[in-house]
Amino acid sequence: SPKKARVPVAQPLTDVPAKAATSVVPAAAPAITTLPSGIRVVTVDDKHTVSALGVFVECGQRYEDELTAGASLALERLSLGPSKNHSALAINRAVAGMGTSVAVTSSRELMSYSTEVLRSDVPAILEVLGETVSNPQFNTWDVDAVKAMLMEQIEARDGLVDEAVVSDFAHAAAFQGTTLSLPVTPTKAIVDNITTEGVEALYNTCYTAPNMVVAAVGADHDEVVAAVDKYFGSIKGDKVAPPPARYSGGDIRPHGYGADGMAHVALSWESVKWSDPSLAAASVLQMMMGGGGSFSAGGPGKGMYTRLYEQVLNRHGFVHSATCSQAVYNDTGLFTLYGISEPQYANQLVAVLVEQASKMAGAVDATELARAKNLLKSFILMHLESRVWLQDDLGRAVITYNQVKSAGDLCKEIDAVTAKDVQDVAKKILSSPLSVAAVGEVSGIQPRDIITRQISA
Amino acid sequence: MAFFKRIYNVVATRYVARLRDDLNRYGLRYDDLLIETDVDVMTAISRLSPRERALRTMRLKRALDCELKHSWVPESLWDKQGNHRYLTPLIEQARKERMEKDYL
Repeated sequence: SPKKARVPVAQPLTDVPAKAATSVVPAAAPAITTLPSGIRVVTVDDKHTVSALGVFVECGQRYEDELTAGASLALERLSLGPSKNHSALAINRAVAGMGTSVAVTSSRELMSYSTEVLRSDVPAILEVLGETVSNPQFNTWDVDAVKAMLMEQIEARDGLVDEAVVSDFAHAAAFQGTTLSLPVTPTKAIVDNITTEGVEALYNTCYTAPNMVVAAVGADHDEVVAAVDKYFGSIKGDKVAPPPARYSGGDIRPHGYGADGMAHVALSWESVKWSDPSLAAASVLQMMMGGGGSFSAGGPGKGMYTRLYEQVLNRHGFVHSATCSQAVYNDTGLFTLYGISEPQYANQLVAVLVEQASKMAGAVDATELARAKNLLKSFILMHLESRVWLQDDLGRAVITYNQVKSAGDLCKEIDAVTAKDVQDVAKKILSSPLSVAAVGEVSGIQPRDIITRQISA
Repeated sequence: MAFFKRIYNVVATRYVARLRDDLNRYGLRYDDLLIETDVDVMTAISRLSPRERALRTMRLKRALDCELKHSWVPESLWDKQGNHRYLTPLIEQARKERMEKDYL
C-alpha cells in the first residue's frame, strides 16, 4: 500500500481543496406576516426536519398591579393546564405524544412558550399552544396548588442569595414605585397575593392578539400562518402597553438573606433601552467590563481579559465574584456591577467597584475595545446557530422592533462602535442616580450618598 | 312502555317534591347527603372554596341537631336552602378526569 506523506496537523493538506467556512444560521431573510387580528408570525425556513417554534406574549411583572401581583408566576406554571375544551391530562399527553415538551418562561416584559417538534407536527403543536393560550381554564384548586408549590420552593431556598435575587433587589432599588420593581423570583408576599381572579385579570389584560408573536425556525411560512389563523383566531383585543417605567435610584438592604454568610453588593445605574441608538455601544461596554466568578477555569471566550477579571478578580483576593450585567427593556435599562465578598471586606469591595465604575468613562484601550467587540460578535453568532435561540431571537425582535435585523447587520453595528461611543454611553449611564442593593451580611457598607460622592466620572 | 314511563314520572315528581320539602325542613341540600367516602365526591368537596366547605359542615351539624331534638329548622328558612345539586357539576368533572386518567 502506498505510504501517505505525513503532514503536520498545523499545516493544511495540499491535495484537498480548502472548505469555506459555512454558517448554520439560515441566510434567507425571515418572513413576517401580520394577521388581521394583530398576531404577527415570523418564520425562517432552513429545510430542517425539526422545527423550533415559539409563542411570545407581552405579559409579565411589568403589566401587574396590586390585584394581579404574582399572577405572572402563576400563569407561567399553569400554562399547560386545563383549557375550556380539554383537560390538562389531554393537553400534556398530546405534547408528550409528539415527543417534545413546552418550555414556558416568564420575565418582566415577556412570556414565552417554546418547543421543538418534527416538521410534520407543526400544525398539531400550534393547535395545542393555541388552545392553551386562547382558552385556558383557571380553576381555584389549580391556582391553590401552584401557590403551595411556590411556597415550597421559597422554603427550600430558605434565604439563599444568587444573582437572580440580587438582580430583583437591584430593580427594586432602581425603579421604585413602578412595576419594574416587582420581583421575578417568588417571595412570600407576592405568592400570598396570588388569587384566581388576579390570574384571570392579568390573562384578560395581556393576552390580546396584537401583544402576541409566533416565531418558527424550520417551518413553512404559509403553513404556520394558516395554523395560527385557525388556532389563535379567537383571540381578540387591542395592544396593551405597560405603565411607563421611571428610574429613581435608591438603596435597598433587605434582612433575612444571610444564609451563605457573604456580602452581595450590586451597584446599578440607568442604562439604554431597546430602541436606543447606543445599544451596541452599551453592549460593547458590558462585554469590556465582563467579569465572573473568581473560581473559574478560564479559557477562550470566558472573558479572562475583561476589566473586571484583570483589574478586580486578579488583583484583589477577597473578591469572590465581580460581574457586569445589563437588563434592557422597552423604555429603560439597568446596568449593574455585582460583587460578592466576605463581610469584613464589604467596604473594600464597594471601593473597588466604584473605582471600576469611574474608569468606565475614562480612556478605552484599542485592544480592549477590539476584544470586547469580537467577544460580542462571537456570542451573537454562536448563539444564533442554535435553532431554539434563533427562534427566541426572531420572536423578541419582532415584538420589540417589528422587524428582524440579520446577524450581518448586527455585526456591522458593533464594528461601527468607537472608543468615544463607549465613553459617551458610560458617561450617560453614570450620570443617572446610583442604586445600591446590598444583600446578606452587609452591615458595614456605607450609605448610598457617600458611595455616589466617591464615583468621579 | 310509554304507559309505565308515565306512571314512573308521576311517582317521581311527587317523590322529589316530598324529598325537597323534607330536606328543606332539616336545612339540608340534597348534595350534602352524598356518600363522602366516594373518590369523586371527596375530590369535589376538596375543590369547593373553604367557605362552601364550612357551610356544608354547618348544614350537616344543624340537621343532626334537629334530628336529635326531634324538631325542624325555623319555618322562615324552609325555602332558602339554595341549589340542592350544587356539588354535582364538580363531581361530574372530577369523574371525567379520573376516567380519562384510568383510560390512559
